[in-house]
Amino acid sequence: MRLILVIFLLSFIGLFSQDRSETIITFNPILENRPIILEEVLYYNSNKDSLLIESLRFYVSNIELLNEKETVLSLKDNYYLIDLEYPESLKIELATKNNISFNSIRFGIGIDSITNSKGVMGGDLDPTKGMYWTWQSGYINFKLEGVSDKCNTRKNRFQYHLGGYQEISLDLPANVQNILIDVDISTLLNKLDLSTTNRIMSPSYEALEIANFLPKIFILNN
Amino acid sequence: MKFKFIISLSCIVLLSAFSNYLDLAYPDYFPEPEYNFEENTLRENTIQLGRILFYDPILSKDSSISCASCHSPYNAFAHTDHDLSHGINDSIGIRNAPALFNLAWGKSFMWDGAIHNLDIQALAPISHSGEMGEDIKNVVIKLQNTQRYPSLFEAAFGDKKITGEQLLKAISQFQLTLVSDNSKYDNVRRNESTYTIQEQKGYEIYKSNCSGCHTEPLFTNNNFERNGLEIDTTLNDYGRMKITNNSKDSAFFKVPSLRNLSYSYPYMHDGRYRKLKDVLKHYTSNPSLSRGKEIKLSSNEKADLIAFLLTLNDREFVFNPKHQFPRE
Repeated sequence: MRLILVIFLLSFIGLFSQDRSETIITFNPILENRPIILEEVLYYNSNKDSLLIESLRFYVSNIELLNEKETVLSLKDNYYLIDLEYPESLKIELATKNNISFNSIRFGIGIDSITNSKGVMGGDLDPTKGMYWTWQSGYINFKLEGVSDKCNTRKNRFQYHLGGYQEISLDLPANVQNILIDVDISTLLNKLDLSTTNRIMSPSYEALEIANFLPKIFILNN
Repeated sequence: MKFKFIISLSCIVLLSAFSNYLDLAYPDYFPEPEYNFEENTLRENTIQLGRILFYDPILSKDSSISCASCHSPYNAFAHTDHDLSHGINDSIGIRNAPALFNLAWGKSFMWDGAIHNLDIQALAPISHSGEMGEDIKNVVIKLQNTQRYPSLFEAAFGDKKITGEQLLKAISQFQLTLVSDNSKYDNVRRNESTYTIQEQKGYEIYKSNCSGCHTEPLFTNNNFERNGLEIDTTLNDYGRMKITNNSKDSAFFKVPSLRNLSYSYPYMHDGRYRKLKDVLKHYTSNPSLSRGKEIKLSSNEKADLIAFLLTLNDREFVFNPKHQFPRE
């Protein structure tokens, strides 16, 4: 009896251990070409403007791997909070079959409107993660906070809380195992003028316009 | 043999863990609830946890304000005698704390519909600097560090580790049980009582003048309407427009239920009227309404209408000990 059980269990494990491998997506937050370190003064652009980033967080969702525009792996309804404060959150591990091939990736930045209209959720979507607009229901999709001399605000602080779900597609080299995606904040800061726009904290038109620009800061680095 | 025993034992354990699910009780003339109970199934332990949280000022930054501070059971969970809501450090808000009942039928929450789901609603007053002024992350830490809450959360959700999701779902569950369905109006609907002649006359007046927005049996169409109130320039509250950014929604507010009116004064989104007769005076002064025609009522008709409106008071709901401060 016991032997049968052991054999059964072993074959069960065997079923799942075959033909499996891992594809890893790594997000690499940078300012121009240097990695961002939180709470450290960083310089960017030709004027050598300085700033300090206190918080960088965004949601990645609905990841799909595609081969010639056909979806070969889909992680619908999976949501990952990427938070620079927790380096382990920068990596997303996808269990893939050994024999699948793919040459592009598609994912969402933020939480799509269907999920947004649901009630309270747990895990990375738990409201304690500080990524929820409390006074007007909805997830903050992308959050960037810091300090810059250019901001004529209390303690020179800037806060960008962006809504507006964005979809991003990136072409990949054939069968890459480690997908490395740079997230270049300088591209965003060149679009936004820190001296005039230093607070976006509600799901306004301005927030939406800047959110529409977000896909440009995600660049494949393979 | 032993194996079978273990299987049947684990089945029993599983069944007993899930068998105490409750269904929300409501009369057959109520519509189907809007709330999705599949996402947050009612259970006695969870409702009780929600009730304890509802009455606990630990939710606020300085432990001075609970949900019940502005939503008192004796006032149908409104804040009687206060035109505008109160918060920590004696702050005063810009709107009247609404009465809380029949929330399972709500399509959106707050006077401007800013919140689309009851589970998310409590986040707004918890975080608002003029209300509880606290961060939900901090509430979870505070609760986790108490003697009583970890075991209450374990009884409700099967885990001593508290999450924001569970906290909000528990508060939702208690509020979902606040069903008001025992007014005289309900008794008449169930053939347990009859209207007086005056109440019956008032019912007819209600049906031809008020029912478009304050629709039976919940006495709200759950919509946003403009009731023609002048904007109070000390508050400059344009209601729904703030949410939609559409000027067509200027001065549109959520239609409140007419149930429990006697307990939940003052009236209107900013609590500007203390008496029902002031409300009727407003509606019969030809205000610019978003719906319906001009309302003209003689003083006798106004008295009849008020007689009917008083049949919507649900004393049993207001004094239900199950809804009150948990003393045990």
